[in-house]
Amino acid sequence: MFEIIKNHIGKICIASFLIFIGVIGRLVLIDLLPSSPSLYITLNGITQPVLMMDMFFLIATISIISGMLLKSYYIFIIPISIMFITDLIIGNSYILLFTWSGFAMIGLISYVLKIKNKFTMQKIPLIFGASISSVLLYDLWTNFGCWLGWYPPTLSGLTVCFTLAIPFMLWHLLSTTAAITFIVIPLIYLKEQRLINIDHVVNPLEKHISIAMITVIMFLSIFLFII
Amino acid sequence: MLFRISVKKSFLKNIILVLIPLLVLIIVGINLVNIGAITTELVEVKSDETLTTLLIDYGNNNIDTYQVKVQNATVFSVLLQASIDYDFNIGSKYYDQYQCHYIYSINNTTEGENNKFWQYYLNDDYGIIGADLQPVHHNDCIEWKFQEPKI
Repeated sequence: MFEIIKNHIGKICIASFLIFIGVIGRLVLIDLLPSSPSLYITLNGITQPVLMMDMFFLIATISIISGMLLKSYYIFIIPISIMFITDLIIGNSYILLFTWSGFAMIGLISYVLKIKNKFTMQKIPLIFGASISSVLLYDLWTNFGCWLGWYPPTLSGLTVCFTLAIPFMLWHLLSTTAAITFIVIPLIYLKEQRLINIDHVVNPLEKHISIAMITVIMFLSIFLFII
Repeated sequence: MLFRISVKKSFLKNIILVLIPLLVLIIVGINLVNIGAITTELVEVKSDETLTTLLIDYGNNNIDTYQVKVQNATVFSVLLQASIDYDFNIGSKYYDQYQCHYIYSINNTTEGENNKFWQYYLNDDYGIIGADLQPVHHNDCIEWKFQEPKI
């Protein structure tokens, strides 16, 4: 046991640091978000501010970094630990199954990029593309969960649900793109200068267990509605 | 020399791959502004004073009914005007990032009791957007209900 901890002490420290930053950020930094700009969008007869702000980008960036720097178990452990601790304080509802698995999904996409050795300065458009796709997937998944629980089970209900989600989606895309530019890209540069090390060795068992756990939570999220 | 050309080509390719989606976004945004989907002002009812019926349902069949006159009415402004006209207090918190007030108390009935919160209905339809963003028309009926959350 001591040997295992000794071999993983670096990764445990990074994971603990990321969890600490995520928890503090989600609880404290929300009050420092800027005011929503006076721009309004009208779609489907509903007028809303163009951007509605939350701390999604912080957890998403941490999920991307955990997939990039650490072994596969951490893509599951880190975002879910942050969400678990902060949801105990803030509170949450059934939607947590969708949000927790959504963040783990973002970490998984980042992990796949890592094992295919795509975190290089030559692959920046691919990194942005994969990150933006993971944000969109997260929003599609979590809003699907909102529709299941909170809106009429009709096409009209689905349309209203996603219309109301647009300001959040736009903020998620904008803020996460900025966070990748200022945090993830510099990390990749440091890696190419050999100042940080990204371990590309993949344990197949770890990889399959992590993917399976994320998949189980996603199925559980929907299954709870069916029963 | 060949290596330098290859690096330059790769760099240019990356720049183009990032710029193209940005350009698409800008073009879509401009078109949305042109058709009026994106504006700098909330859609407001430009009319004379709007007469609205306001019902406040505290639960247990305890309902207060008010007739409220206000210009450029939103659900929130009607509640605010009613609190002034009929002398009852409201507790609210304004969220900058959502540009909306959150109502947590009306006439000393404060949220949190038995997992109940203040939620509004406009003409019997559950309010899905913030009270400040929902315009109200002449003869509309607003109901604030103290109940367990629907959302």
